Amino acid sequence: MTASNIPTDLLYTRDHEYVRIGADGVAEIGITDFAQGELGDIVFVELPAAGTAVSAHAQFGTVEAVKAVSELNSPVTGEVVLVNPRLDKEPALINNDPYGDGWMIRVRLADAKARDGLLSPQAYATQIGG
Amino acid sequence: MTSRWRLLFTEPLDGIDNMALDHALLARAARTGECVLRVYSWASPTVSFGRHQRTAGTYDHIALAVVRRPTGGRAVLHAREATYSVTAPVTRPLRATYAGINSLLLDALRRLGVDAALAHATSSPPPDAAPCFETATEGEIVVGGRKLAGSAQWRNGGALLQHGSILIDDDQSLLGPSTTPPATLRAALGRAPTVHEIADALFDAARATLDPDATPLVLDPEVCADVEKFRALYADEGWTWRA
Repeated sequence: MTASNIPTDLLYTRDHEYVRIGADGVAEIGITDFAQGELGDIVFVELPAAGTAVSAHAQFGTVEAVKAVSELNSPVTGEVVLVNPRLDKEPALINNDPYGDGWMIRVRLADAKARDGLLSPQAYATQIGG
Repeated sequence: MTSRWRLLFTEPLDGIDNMALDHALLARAARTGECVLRVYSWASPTVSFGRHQRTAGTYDHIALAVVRRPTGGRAVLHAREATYSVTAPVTRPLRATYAGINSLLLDALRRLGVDAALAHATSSPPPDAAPCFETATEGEIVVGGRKLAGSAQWRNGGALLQHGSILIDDDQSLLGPSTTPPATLRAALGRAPTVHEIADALFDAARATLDPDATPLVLDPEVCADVEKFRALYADEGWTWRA
């Protein structure tokens, strides 16, 4: 098994989501390389529409791989401003490029405390035994 | 696995109650940390859809009871079969969980005298591909290369539900023309075992391989209240019929 890729410029959750917080207060969210590797071939992803409110630690969507449905939990609180339009037809992008073309949603953060409770790359690496 | 296991046999229920009870048992697993192996059947032939399957416009013509599962995968017709569910805390990755439960099924089937095996790797079909029993995915139970048991999973809130069908007879062609008919227990054994007999084999396998002290589960008021709550979801037309 190859070691999972854990970019150092992102923050993480214990549930294997990542967050890329931009200077404009918008966070890009997806699942980690470790998570996609554990799930296997992703065949479907269900995501909220733009304008939907999401809450930290609450479910925002589902992903299906190997006939298993797993819940996706939001790392942050805010409003969905953009959903990756390619994932509907190309869910395998999550496997092939989880931190790039496989991003899932962009969320405008509700407040400045969005980073609270998120894991550093080092802490996430420790959690997954990397 | 060192978890505490409980065993549950339920008389035939309709699709809504069957899904609501599996859902309530998932919630129980998250609450108690205990695992439950349930064996059940269906009050009338029922088609269950996978969580993400498009159903409106595809299955409207079916003149049978229908229900949408919380788990993934594709359409299954539940008629002459034994259905199992396992609910447990999530302690292992997805494929390891499948492998563990499929080993349990294999052990039980061998106790019945079925020469079953685990399928080799194939690619994972999308939810709108052919019905479930057309193709076996990696690790599923096959007899003579044809699928005998199909399973699907849902992971939520630190617990998992895996349920699946073990075919006694083949009714899947009612879902549409089949290029690869599934295996059946009747064909494998030359007779049709009862659901009770299959349940006994599964419970014996669980006691032999998972927990020698596994005891019957009596549904407590909390589980019964959850069943009532989750019935509303599975009875909702908006949940079942999705374009």
